Amino acid sequence: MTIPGGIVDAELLGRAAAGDERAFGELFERHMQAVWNHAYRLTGSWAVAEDLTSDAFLIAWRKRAELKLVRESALPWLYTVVSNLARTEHRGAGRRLRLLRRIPEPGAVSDHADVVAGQLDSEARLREVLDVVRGLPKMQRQVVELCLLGEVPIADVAALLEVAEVTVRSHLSRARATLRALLEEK
Amino acid sequence: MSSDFPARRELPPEVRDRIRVRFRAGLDRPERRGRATWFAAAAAVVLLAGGAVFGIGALRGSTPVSPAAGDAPLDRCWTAAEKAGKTEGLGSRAQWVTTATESSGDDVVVAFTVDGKPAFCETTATTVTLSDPAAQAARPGGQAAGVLLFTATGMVAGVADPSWEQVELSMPDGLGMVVAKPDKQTGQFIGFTGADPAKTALWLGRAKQGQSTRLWPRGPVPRIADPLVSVVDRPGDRSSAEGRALGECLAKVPDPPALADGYQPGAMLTDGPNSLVLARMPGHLIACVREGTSYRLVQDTFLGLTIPVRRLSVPPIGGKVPFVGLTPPSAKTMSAEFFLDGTQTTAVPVVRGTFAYWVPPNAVPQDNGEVSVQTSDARGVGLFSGGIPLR
Repeated sequence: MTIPGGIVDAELLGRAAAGDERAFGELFERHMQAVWNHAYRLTGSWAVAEDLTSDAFLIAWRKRAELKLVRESALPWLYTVVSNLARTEHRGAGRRLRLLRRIPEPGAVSDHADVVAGQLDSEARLREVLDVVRGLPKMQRQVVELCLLGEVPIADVAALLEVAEVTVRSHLSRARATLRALLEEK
Repeated sequence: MSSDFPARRELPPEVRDRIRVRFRAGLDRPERRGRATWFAAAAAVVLLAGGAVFGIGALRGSTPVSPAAGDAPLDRCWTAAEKAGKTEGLGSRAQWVTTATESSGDDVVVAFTVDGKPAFCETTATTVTLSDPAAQAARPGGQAAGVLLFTATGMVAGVADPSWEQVELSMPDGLGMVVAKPDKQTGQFIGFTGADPAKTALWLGRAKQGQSTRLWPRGPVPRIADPLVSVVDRPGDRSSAEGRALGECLAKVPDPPALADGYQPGAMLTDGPNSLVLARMPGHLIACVREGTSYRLVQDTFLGLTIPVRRLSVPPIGGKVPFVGLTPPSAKTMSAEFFLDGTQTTAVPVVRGTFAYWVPPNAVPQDNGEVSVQTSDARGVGLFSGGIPLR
């Protein structure tokens, strides 16, 4: 990934792997917002998204020597890390309890009741979708998380998952059909 | 389908700050070498933006020291070897040739040669650990590098083919990576891994600057030879009230730490027949707890140098919850905000880089489960301002 006037991820990562912490810091600042948004889309909770974002970068820092770049961008790899973390998060009962505690109570923000109601509806809908996504076969789930939730181009997903683009398209097509059918049932 | 997904949002500055802080707090795994200094800079910017000026003095990594500065530690190592009657095979002190010196806080490691054979000596405020020049380096299969010393502080020292640009030290799962640079002449390298040798299987491999993926395979380091000398040559204080309590407690716990005499006492809590005393060594913080007639030890995972103020989780003692942990060594004061009916700011005693206070009954954490604390040095200069977990 190239930032206008900036340095590509590959170079920053190379410097980080060689021990340049500031280079990693630049990567962190560059991708934090995207990772945070992706984490929200995977969990339906902004609070949990914060935790997952910091956790994802911790993993990236520790695995910086083997972080996989796709077209010189670290973002797709970071998305897969967040996806893994989100699944762990979802499985952890303790974490679920924490998530529940963090969901804002509508009464606490009653001045903005309409907005909040809409937001909660939207979050509820997102969680509904996520429940269905989690039930997909592994490959379909991965392409949904990357292509639909992460909006990563199909070619990049193919490179990241080390499969042909046509394979990604095929899984995505099947996943869309499954999601459509299951969500219409709800 | 994508209409089911919420639009992306701009990351609010306060959320960005929280993520930064959580990331920094999560850096409590090994990997000390200059770790996340960029983060300290970012945190400093945040604090400055808030109108307060703080230094993050505790964020120190491995620091090269001029070879001449290594003479004093080597003299101490020689004296320790003499006292232990282990100078056979060490030649004379005059034959020791310093090749490099690295430090992390008051943990100083000197690489030297004895009659051309590589050796290392680590000194802390209270201990000396000297490798055996006659020992074979513990070398993973197929690797042209091996380890001669892996000490309780997490310091790893060894020898690699001088043509290796870097040596990568890591955990079996590849995490906790530290990269050390071998000396171009002798191949000696030193790394502060922060890992606990009693619990850590160390892996080693070749690396080079600028690599973005592993270029060479790693291998598990086999059993490392025992050090020639490992002693407490400058025992910790046992004459003050805290020191006496620590000495008594460490003598009675069933599982005293290695080099127990080297621990310096810190802050203490008492409550009738119950007490807790903290103690530090480079890389370690312990709490020695007396509950009635029983004694037990609570040990931290290794200290993260990037976390200047950190809580050590100790179970309740006689029903009271201890709020204890470490501060930068230069800290003299700490204030903590506990939530009771309202916010109550409390002065928390700080002794030798540790703090201890009984959590007030009915105190509850902030929404994020933390207590806000501030620490300052003797001149009143802020060292840390942030949250640490209450739960």
